[in-house]
Order: sequence, then structure tokens, then C-alpha cells
Amino acid sequence: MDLEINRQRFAIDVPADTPLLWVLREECALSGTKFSCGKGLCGACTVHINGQPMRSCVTPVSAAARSSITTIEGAANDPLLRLVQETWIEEDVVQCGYCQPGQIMAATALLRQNPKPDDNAIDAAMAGNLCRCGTYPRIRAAIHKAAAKLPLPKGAR
Amino acid sequence: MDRRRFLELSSAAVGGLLLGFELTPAVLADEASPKAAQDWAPNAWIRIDAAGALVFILDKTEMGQGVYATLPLLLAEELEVDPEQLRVEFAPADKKYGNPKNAGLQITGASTSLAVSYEPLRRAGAVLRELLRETAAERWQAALADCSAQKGQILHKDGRRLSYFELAEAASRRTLPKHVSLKAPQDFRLIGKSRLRPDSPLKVRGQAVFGLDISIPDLRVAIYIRSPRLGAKLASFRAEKAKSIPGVEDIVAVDQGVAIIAKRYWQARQAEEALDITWDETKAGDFDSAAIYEHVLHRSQERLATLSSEEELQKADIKATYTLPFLAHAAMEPINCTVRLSPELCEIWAPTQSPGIAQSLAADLTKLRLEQVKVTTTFIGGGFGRRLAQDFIEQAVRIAQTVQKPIKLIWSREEDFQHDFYRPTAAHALAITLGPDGHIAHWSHAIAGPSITANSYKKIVPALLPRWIPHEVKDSVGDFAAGYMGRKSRDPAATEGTLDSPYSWQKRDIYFDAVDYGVPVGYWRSVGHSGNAFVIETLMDELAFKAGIDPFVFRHMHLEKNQRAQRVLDELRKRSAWEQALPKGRFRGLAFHESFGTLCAEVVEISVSEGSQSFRVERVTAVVDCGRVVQPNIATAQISGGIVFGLSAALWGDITLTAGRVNQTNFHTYPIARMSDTPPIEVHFLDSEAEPTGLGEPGVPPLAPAIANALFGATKRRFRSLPLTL
Ligand code: FES
Ligand code: FES
Repeated sequence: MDLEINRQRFAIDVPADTPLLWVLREECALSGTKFSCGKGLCGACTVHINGQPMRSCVTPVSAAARSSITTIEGAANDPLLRLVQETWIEEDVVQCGYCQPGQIMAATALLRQNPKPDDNAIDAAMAGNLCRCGTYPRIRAAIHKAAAKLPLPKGAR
Repeated sequence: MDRRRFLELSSAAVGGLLLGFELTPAVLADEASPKAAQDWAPNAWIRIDAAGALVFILDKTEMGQGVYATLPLLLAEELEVDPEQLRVEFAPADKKYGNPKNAGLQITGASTSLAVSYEPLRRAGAVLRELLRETAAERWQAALADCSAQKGQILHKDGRRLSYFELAEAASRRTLPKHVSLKAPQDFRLIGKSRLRPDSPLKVRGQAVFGLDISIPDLRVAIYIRSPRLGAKLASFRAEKAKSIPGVEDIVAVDQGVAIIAKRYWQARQAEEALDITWDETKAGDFDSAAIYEHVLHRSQERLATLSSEEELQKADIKATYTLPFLAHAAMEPINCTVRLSPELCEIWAPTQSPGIAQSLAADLTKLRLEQVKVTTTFIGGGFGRRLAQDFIEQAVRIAQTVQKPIKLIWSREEDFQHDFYRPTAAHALAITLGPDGHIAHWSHAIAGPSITANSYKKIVPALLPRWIPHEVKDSVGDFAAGYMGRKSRDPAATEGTLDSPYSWQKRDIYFDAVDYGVPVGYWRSVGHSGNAFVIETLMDELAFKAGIDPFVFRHMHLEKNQRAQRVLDELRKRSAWEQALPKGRFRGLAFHESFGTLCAEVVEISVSEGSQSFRVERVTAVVDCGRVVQPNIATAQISGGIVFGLSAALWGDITLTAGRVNQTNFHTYPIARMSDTPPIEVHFLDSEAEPTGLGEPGVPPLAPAIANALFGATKRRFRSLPLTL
């Protein structure tokens, strides 16, 4: 099976029902996407499939074939993702950091679809991403700050 | 030597070891090795390597609390480098990193990292800086006073300069200066001024290596299946079907469980489904949490009756009982550990809060010498005390021993919930009498519940005893230590915050009874304070109300000689706009608690729905005195994170058992706070010249009682159990 991840092709050989999460982590050496609940309940494993935020722990890899997958490692080809990551650094969001790849992927998907989200929109988009360290106030601040930097300068895409 | 005498001796030794007597903090300059052409380690925390890098060796594990930022900064302050000039490396397990506040063991816990590092790390930086200055002065034949240190270089006032690296070789042959003076606070360049966290770039790009991300050649995945019923033993299993799943290599009995070793995690989990296991449940627990609660309650009431006379009980102004639930840690990174074994070496990579104990345990299991066990800690995806217990290290080592392959043990979230070391349940029974002046005359307080200290000593003590002691003896020493620690008021984990409460109760009688139900219990962010503050602070509120005194004033009255505490309360009264009337349906509650040397007071504002069906926390204001704040940004995050952690526990935290089995399995049955549940949180620190105290835990204890006190305003009911429900 061929996968397109962060604009790169990966030929992999796994059963079709293997969750995308484990394919990323174990076959593609992309360990930035995190395993936490394994049941679609926490958002730690969030990636983008054709720009949509998806829980990779409950997405069979077959459902992601012939799609464009972006992970937390894919910022080189995704200026918006890079901008969100930079804003996260500026706002000192992270604590243990384990949930943050998922938070950042969820926030990036939100901003792509709604560049000026209000608090309710943020609550709705981020409700599925748990953070046991409780970094929520700074995540909220970082999303607002990233939104204030949008739109991206011309030429970036 | 007869056994009894031996036990006395060894338990005395154990007592000394564990209580930290005669243990010195990590020593400076213990190995100023003169092999300077290569790496040079002038002390335990810094190395100038052959390539010229300044390497900071971080002896506390980074689990979000920010030691990766704050500890190098302390050394950098005196060494006169920018923190960014230091490359941070995680320390291996080594005696020299013993934590004097954690019984001399290499443990990151009890909110001690800053407190124990504050002086030694600055001193280590200063000693090295002076040494480098002296070296440069000699090389230039210059007066020492003309040589100053700046950004990794020694400068002569005439403009000559030498980098620390250029001086390292010569410096390594000199003796370390004996007397150095540390900077006066007004000269601090770094301490007290927020910098961005240095671990952020790694973490936001997915490059930080957590335990789960460790990768070594030929690594296999291991999962470890145990009965969800606590205490059940492995009877037998049939693995033919499971073994036929591609990628599955071994299915073996290990201790009381079955290990599945596969190339990939998913293959192992598929095999688990196909595996047929029979458990021997004859000795398994069959307790229900409801029955446990009833039993502990009974024990606490019985004890209360012995603490106070019939008459005292009669005339008490408040008699109350409380029950608190078991709680899970639920750190986001699942439990895991990687092990590679050879006849001479046991290598462990693990997200652990106790690398020192991991090392001892592994040495004990493998019969290797301590130096042959190499423990590498990783970034930790949340600790909260869970990773102080080393059960997973033991499992991983045993599995690697059985299959003789390098393995990474990975628990599922379900296993994490079902095999946690839970914050223990506790029952409290109290009788409190007010004096005529509104002061508390007698605080009589019986606590009953499982003892964390007893539970963990049983495991830890045997692992730390010398190799030559036979196992049976080690176990009885462990039991002895456990029994000793579990007794009245020796278990600080159960009584902390009560015996040593700063309130001036005229007479206090406090007693803890340890009751063991076979449910594993452990250290959970803020430990005993988490429940004790709930009891004390809801009662302080109730007593204030009874006495007709404002809750701030009432607490003030009981802290009359404690200016630090009074300052915290006064500041919070202002910051929370306590006097200001609230709109309809809004209520405020206050709580104050001292833990880990830090004072923290919180005011919570809640809104209650029409008809009081439900409520929401709308705002939290916290005021904290934690001594000097080293990194304000991180300090705020720790208190605010503690408040969110406390919020989850106050609103939903509840681990229940049915027939010896934990009912909660994942985040849908053990909810934790989400973004939408989290109110705006304001954190204020008082200026202080005192040495820094803990920050990781003190934000947690006041939150639940503050909410409960606000709920009293709304409902006129008192809340005597958690989680809070209307
Ligand atoms: S790991 Fe996928 S949602 Fe939790
Ligand atoms: S930063 Fe630790 S779980 Fe979110």
C-alpha cells in the first residue's frame, strides 16, 4: 500500500485494518504522533487527512490510502502548521508536551477552516483534545495569537 | 546473628536511609577527573566535552514541571553563560544524584526539585567560574580581579579573552576553589526573569523523545496481560491461535501475567484477543468500593471515639464525617519501558520518576552489579506521582529476561486505569469545638484508609538492601518498614496538612489508622494534602459561618503569628474582589492550604443553574507564596495546571471497584477536564526573598474545597464527599 505523508511517499506492507497511528509510528518512524487512549477519546494521535483532523488511532490505514496525510513533522510543507508551532513556543504552552502534537494539529485544522475563531469555536474544535497537564488557558491564548497573525503572507501556502 | 537482632539492625539502617539521616546532598567535585583532553566533568552536573560543548546533566526528570528550563538556568546564573549555551542531557541513575528531600534517593517528586537544587547548582556554577577565572589569570600572568566571566568566556580588562573550552584542559588540573560567594539577588541576570521554555521547540515539532518513542535495533514490542481482577493469579493459557498471528514471536508466562512479544504493537494486541487465559481467582480481591468506604468510615468513627471523651463529643460544635474516593493519575503517556539485556549489561530506557530505584530493582532481578545497570530517563508524558512506582520497570526486565530479546513494554490506556497505584480512599471523622472567642478550641480528627507509605516501602525497601541479604529476610524487612511507617502519624502521606496545619487550633488530636484492602495505592499529585485540605478547608468555612465571621477573617484569626499566610490571604481578598457583589446565580468560595513549603489560597467563582441542577466553575484566582520565583512563566503554568488537575478530581474523579475489579477503563468513564470546562485562571505570586519552595503540587489542594464552599453559598448544603455533585 502506498501512503502520502508530509508530501513524501511511503510503501508499506501491513494489514488493511492496522490503525494509521501505528503505521506512522512503527513503519514510517514518525513518532511525533502520540498514542494515549487508543479509542478516539483524547486527540493525542490527531493528524490531518486531506486537511481534516482525524484520530489516527481509530483510522484504519486503508482509509488513508490515496489521501494526503499531514503529521506534526510536516511543517516544512505547511506554513500554517509552522506558524501554529511557532506561536505555541512564543506562548510557552507546553508542559509535559505529550498531548501537544495532537493539540497543534487540531488547532491548525481549526484555523484553516476558521481563521478568526471566537472562544466558543475554539471550545468546540478543541473539546476532543485532552491535556492532563492543564495547558488549556495557554492553548486558547496561542490560538487567538496565531489567528491574529493570519492571513499568511502571499506566497506561503 | 539471630533473625530478630538482624531485623532490628537492618531496619535501623533502613530507617536512616529512608528518612535521609546522614545523607548528604549530591556532592560537588566528587570526580574532578584529570583526563582533560577528552571530556571533563568538574562536578556532577556539568561536562565540557571534547568537542567544546557545555553539557548540563539534568538529574531530575522532566515531566512538564520545567526542570529542563529552571535547573540549567540556576547553574548558568553563576557560571556566566546563557542557558541556551548549555546542552541539556538527562542524568543516568547514580548515587551522586540522591535527592536529600526524598530520603537520599534519586527521585523526582514531592515538589522538591527547585528547593533542593537552588543552592547546590548555583554553587556548582560559581565554583567552576572561579576555577576558570583563576586558570585564565595564571595563563595571562594577570591579576584575578582583572579577569571576569561573561557568556562562556573569561575576559581580561585589556580585551584579551579565552573561551571556557580553551581553558578547560588547564583548569582540569587545578584544585577547585574552596570558597566562592554567590551572587546577591539584586545581581541576578536570569533568576526571576521569564525565558521561553527550551523544551518547547522539540515538543511542538514532535521531536521530543518520550519513553514510548525510544528506538533501538531489533526492538520488539511487548504487552503484558494481567487479570483485571486485583490479586488474581495466572492459572493457564492457550496460545495456539494467538501465535499464528503474523509478527507474533513469543507468548510466555511472566510472574502472574502473560507477555506477548511481537514485531509491532497492533499485532500484539490482535494476539491478545485471540489468547485464551484462565485466571486463578481463589485469592483475588472481591471488594466493592462501596463496602470499602463503609469500612473505613467505621474505622474512623471508632477511632474518633477514643480521641475525645464522651463529653467532648457531646459538646462539639461540629461533628462530621467525610469519604474520599480512589483516584487515577491518567497521565497522557501510557506506561512503558524499554529493556535490553546482555550477560554483563542491563540497559533501561524509561519515563521514570525514580531512576535510582529502577536501577536497584533491575540489579536485584538480573543479579548484575549496580554499575552494570544503565538507566536512561526520557522526557515524561506526565508523571503526577504515577511513575514513582517502578512496577513497569520490573515487568519489562522480567519479560526481557524471559524472552532474551530487547523489548519495549507498552501498556494500553485500559491497563493504565486498571493497574494504577491509586490515590487512596480515606474516611475522616471529626469533632470540633469552638471557644467562646470564636477560636477553635479543640480539633479532633480521625483518618482511616490505605497507607501509601506502607504500600510503597514494602516494595522499595527490599530492593535497596544489600545483595547478600536473603530474599525472605529482605521481604520481612520490607514488611517491617511498611508496618512501622503505616502506624499512627508516622505516615506523613496520610496526615500531611493536618498535624502540621498552620492554623492555631488550641488543641489538636489527630490519628491515622492504616487499613489495607489489597488495592494498590500510591503518590498522586499533592498526596495526602489532596484530601486533607478538602476536609480542613470546608470545615474552616463551616466554622466561620457558625461563628458568624467572614471566612477570610476567620482564617486570619487562626494564623495570627503567621505573616506569610496573612499576606497571601490579604492579597487574595484584593485580587478576587471578594467584597464586590456578584450577579444572581454566581457564588464564591475560598480555600487556603500550605503544602510542600508553599502557601496557596484560591477563590473560585461558580455559576449555578436555575433550580440548582448543575454548576460551572467560571473563574479561579490564586495567590501563592513559594519563596523566590525562579521562572515566573513556568511557576504560573504549574499552579494553573494544578488547578485544572484539581478541577478534574473535584468534578469527576472517582475510581470505583466491583468484585475486586476497577470499573473505569478509559477517558469516557474517567473524565478529565477539557478546554471547555477550564475557566479563566489568574495566578499571582507574592514577592519573596526566601528560598524557592514547591510548585508542582500546591495548586491542587485548595481547589476542591473552594468549589465546595462556593456551592454552600448556592445550596446551603455542606459537601462531605468528592467528586462534587448537586
Ligand atoms: S490516542 Fe487516538 S484519540 Fe487518544
Ligand atoms: S502538556 Fe502534558 S498532557 Fe498536555
